[in-house]
Amino acid sequence: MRELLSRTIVAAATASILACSHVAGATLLDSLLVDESVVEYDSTGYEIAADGSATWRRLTRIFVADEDDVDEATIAIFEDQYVEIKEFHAHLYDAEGKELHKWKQGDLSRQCGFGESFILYSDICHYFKRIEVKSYPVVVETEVAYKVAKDFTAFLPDFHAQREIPLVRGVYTLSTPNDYRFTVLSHGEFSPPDSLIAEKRSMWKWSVENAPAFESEPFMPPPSLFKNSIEFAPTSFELERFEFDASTWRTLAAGHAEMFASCYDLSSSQLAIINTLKSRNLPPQQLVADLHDTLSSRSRYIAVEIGLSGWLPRPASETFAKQYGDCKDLSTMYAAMLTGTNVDARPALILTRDQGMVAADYPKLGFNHVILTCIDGNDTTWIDPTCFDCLPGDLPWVDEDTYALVVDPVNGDLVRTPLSTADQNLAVRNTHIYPTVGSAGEFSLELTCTGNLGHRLRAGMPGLDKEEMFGVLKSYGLIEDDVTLTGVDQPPASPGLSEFSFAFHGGDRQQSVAIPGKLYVDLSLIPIFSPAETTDLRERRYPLHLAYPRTYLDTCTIHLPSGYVAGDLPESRSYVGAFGGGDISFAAHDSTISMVRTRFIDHYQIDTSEFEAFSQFLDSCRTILDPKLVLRKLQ
Amino acid sequence: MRCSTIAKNWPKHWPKHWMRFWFACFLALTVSAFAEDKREFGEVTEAEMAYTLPEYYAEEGAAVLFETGSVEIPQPYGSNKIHFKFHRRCKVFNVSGADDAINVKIYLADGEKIRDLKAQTISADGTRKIEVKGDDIHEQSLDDYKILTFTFPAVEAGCFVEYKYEIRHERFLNLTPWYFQNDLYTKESSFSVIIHNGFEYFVVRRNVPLENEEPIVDTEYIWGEKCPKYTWVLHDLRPTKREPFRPAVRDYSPELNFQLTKFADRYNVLKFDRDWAKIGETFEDYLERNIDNRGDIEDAAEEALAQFAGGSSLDSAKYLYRFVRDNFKTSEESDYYYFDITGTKDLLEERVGTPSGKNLLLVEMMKAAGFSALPLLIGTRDHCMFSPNIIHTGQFNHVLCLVSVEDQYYFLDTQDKYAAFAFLPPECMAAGGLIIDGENSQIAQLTHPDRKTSISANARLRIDDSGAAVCSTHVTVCGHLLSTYRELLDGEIDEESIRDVLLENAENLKFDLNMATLNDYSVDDSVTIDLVLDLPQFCERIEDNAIFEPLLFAPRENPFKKSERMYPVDFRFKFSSYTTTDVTVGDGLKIVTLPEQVRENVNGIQFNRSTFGGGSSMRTVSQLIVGKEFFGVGEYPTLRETFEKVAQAGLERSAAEYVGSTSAE
Repeated sequence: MRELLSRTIVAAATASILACSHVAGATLLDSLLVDESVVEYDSTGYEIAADGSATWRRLTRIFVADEDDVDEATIAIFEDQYVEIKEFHAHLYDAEGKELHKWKQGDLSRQCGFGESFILYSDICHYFKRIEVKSYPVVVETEVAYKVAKDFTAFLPDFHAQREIPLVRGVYTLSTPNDYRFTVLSHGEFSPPDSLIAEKRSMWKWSVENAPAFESEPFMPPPSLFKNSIEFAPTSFELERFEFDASTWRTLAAGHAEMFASCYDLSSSQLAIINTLKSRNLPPQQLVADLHDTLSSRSRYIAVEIGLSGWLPRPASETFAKQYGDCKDLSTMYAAMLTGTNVDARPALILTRDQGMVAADYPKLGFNHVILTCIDGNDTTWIDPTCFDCLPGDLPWVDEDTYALVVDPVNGDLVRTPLSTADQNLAVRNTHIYPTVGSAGEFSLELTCTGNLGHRLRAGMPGLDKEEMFGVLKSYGLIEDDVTLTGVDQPPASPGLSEFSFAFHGGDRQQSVAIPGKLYVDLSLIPIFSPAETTDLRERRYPLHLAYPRTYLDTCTIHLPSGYVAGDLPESRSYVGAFGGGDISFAAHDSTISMVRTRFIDHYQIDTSEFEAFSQFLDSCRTILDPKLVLRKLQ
Repeated sequence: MRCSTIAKNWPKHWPKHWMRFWFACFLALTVSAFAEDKREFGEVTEAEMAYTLPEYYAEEGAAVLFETGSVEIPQPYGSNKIHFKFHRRCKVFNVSGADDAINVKIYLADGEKIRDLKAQTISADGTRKIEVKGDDIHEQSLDDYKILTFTFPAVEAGCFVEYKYEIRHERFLNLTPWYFQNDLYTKESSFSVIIHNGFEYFVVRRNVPLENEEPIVDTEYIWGEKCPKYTWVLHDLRPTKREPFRPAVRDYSPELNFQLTKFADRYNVLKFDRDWAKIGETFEDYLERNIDNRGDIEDAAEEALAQFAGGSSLDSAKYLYRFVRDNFKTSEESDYYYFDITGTKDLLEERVGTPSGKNLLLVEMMKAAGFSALPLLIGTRDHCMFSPNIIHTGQFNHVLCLVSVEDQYYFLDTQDKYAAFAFLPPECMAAGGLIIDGENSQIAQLTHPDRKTSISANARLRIDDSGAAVCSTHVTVCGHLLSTYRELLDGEIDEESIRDVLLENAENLKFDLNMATLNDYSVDDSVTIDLVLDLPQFCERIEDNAIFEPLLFAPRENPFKKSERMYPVDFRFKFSSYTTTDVTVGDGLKIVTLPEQVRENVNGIQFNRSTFGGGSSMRTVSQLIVGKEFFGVGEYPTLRETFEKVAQAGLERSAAEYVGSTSAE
């Protein structure tokens, strides 16, 4: 029986025994005819047994033409409490197919307990071997077979059909008992799978040939959105002892609701806080703000991943006592305590926007983060409890405008998180510029930032010295590269959550150009474009990702050098285009010129079809909002 | 009797975390005492509660209030092991800047056992203590290493985090070294040692202030014996910092190391290395373990020289050097061991090996070819400076090949394809080392031949009336700078690499690469690159002037961003940078503003820029000469200021007026 849903297949059928397609040994390779590195063969076979356990086989054969691509052939396998390496061998062949080396598991470097940089501990062991050879080309062939435990049923490996080097042939084979249900979602063009349906088991095989290399670009959206791949998801599974029905978002949310609720215990200390808050009879939004204030100031982000990436949150009381946890721990603590104050607070699962975007019509556990939404009638307040520097309602940009699965026992659903507006992400710069003739000019600047700019700077500055802080401001495009810091007028401060201020002075190497009788003063020390906006759009293939809308609000006083007066001042002008706009005005005084300028961009992503219009928009901004000032030399 | 225990602890590898033993003046300790940490776990004092950081460090997130290490070395009988006890208490001032205090990693080598690990957070007022539970202490592993990792709970500004543990091991030969300095400001760091009867250890003190060199001696009764206890205490140690062109941190940080020199009981007297010859003998055994096929090496040398066209002995030696340098790929050394030597068998089979492994192979191939060749141990420039008075292997982390040809000695290193015969890579230009020659091992002073090191760029810029430009440039990179520019020379020359390497990240400069030609490393120790760049938006038009930056290839970044410096500046080598730029403009333009003349001549650095011309053409010649490789902390402000002027000069702009305009008047 097969049901076809939109873009998905729900499969159930009869059986056969899966044997992962296997190309033994090395032969003289067709790819020797080419001079570029390729993945000659990438085969994944996943065979699910009747008891839910699985055998997962992977065979890759990579032709490495030169050293530049050797990292693509790095051997990397892993093991954790659910996935056990049963068989592994890897071979290195020369161009003629002669075996140069072979490795078994014990020959690989082993790292256990390490995860990504933000993880304190992860109960996974990685084994790897970087290929080092004197001459190229070589072929690296790796075969690994994992035994997957029967309680690891929530996830199926995806078919990644595009890599950093071309893929000649990729095959993905899935074998299941007939009563096993899963869904499929393809990204890119794939032929329908070959299927073999027998009495008790079914097998499907997807294949792809000659997939081109994927070449990423700076400031692009997550590459996963553009790579050819096929996702698989079981429609029901057991996770951390909880049963999940993943056939719809609503049922998936309901399963999580049960799991999260099991962790909503509260200690007496938490109850005391809750009772204090309740006794004040605050409106819900104020109550949320007060509790966030209390919790964010005493909590730290620490990820300890045990089990299925630690899918099950730690009890709320434990997180509260330790004052640390990861996203799901902290969100659970928030949700438990807010629920205690009668605020309708629910955890929400998201895939952060820097990593991808879940497909709205494809229910799957494709999330990497947990945040929180508080509902008050028609109003919602979103909180990311890992953003200790954020105001309630002020999500970090990676959480903005992405799908969130709101956890609820009955009415959970996939909703879109809000996007901040340009005027919420504000950089206010009050600058004094002292141009000089024949040497670097000086300047002083008072900076205040709010929103994404504010809390990111707030979070990023502690532990840095003043020069390092200055470097951070440059990396954000808040001051230009060619300025130097000579002193701090007001150390970095954070008057409130999502707010950051810093005042300093320094030198600007590019401030003025003297020509006979004139001095051109450059205001570019206070840039109006973020680094992403200055990206070369010629021949760009992917959208430009600007992260979040923003506004620069500048007041600038130019102190005239001795012997100079203001020339013809640029006109006061305003400009509004398709992507944003701004305005600028000047006024001359006895010894100074003052400028007031606003520039905003209300998009966070520019699609390729918009590049031409966006370039024109930037040119207009540059022409209107970033003029040179002309000072005339007194005769 | 466990003498074998002592002997077997001479390691096959040289793990970094445990072999950082040091040298300096020697103090023989032959007494016994019991090292004792007198600070009670969890007892925060009033003074600690009131403690604040010195004003200069006020922005640090945390401080080490104290850390104590103490070692007791029992007699090596039965199951006796060395006990190393550690106790540290930190005060947290700002949670988000206190990672080094609140996230802990404890490294354990193979054979080390940890016990009595206790950790807790103490509230700011000292009344509340929250223990780190066993479930929250996690074990990581990196091959043979184990790492215990944990974080403190309930951390808030003002609180204290404290932990202690004991490690037991059998590494009698070299005790765990003691480093007084941390990444955090350290109010007090102390180390005590007690050595039971029969042992003699060298105490090696490095960079310990003179007034603290001699330990405090107490007398205590341990197990009925009256024992002196030696304790070193340092106070108010500043946090270590990363800085560009930093020399080896160990040359400036206080450390204590202990090396066993003798063990005696009523049956045995065992002596351990005390002079360079004995250290060399021992090390020769270690190196020998990596040479496992002399017959194959002889065959390889013979095979290599079969291709040699003939010539003098020196030509033959040069040929062998190039053979190993160019026919065996250099792999990275492990971060975890001082010496990571690929065995000669693996090297010959796989043609890939670590730098020390390749150099050891070269020694053997030279010998097979009839040359007198020996391994030479050095410490690389980021490891530590060689001191002949400190008889300790901890000074070394690298093997060179020393070869004698026609009565001349040459120091060779095969790791860098941009090192011609007898030129060592900058990191290997040590002042001295240890020649490994069995009982004849001896220290040697290394002299390094002058190596012309420079980068020059001769650029011709043609600016047309639209403000676009074409730039033809001939770049020559010589000497040690070849390694610095490896990213460009070894990879693909494209817009990105040119921008990153030659244009010093001139982010806003838009250009297309029209042509690039790289000429391979030549016998004159240089590489040349010819480039043609199209710069469609080279000039910015303001009124009737075209504004441009003529010095595309001049240095434009000051590497010294910080106003203060903790360590001296070690460039590793002297170098110079020359840039000549010839600009011509189209008929519709006239150059009206030229870069200013600049002359700087401070101790060790010269910078000159001269500009000529005007009208239809101009020439700018820029010359930076760094005439010494080492600048003390006291010289840093001048050095920084000079480099700032160099950067400013590189960014200076010129103006060309559109002919016929009157706006300039």
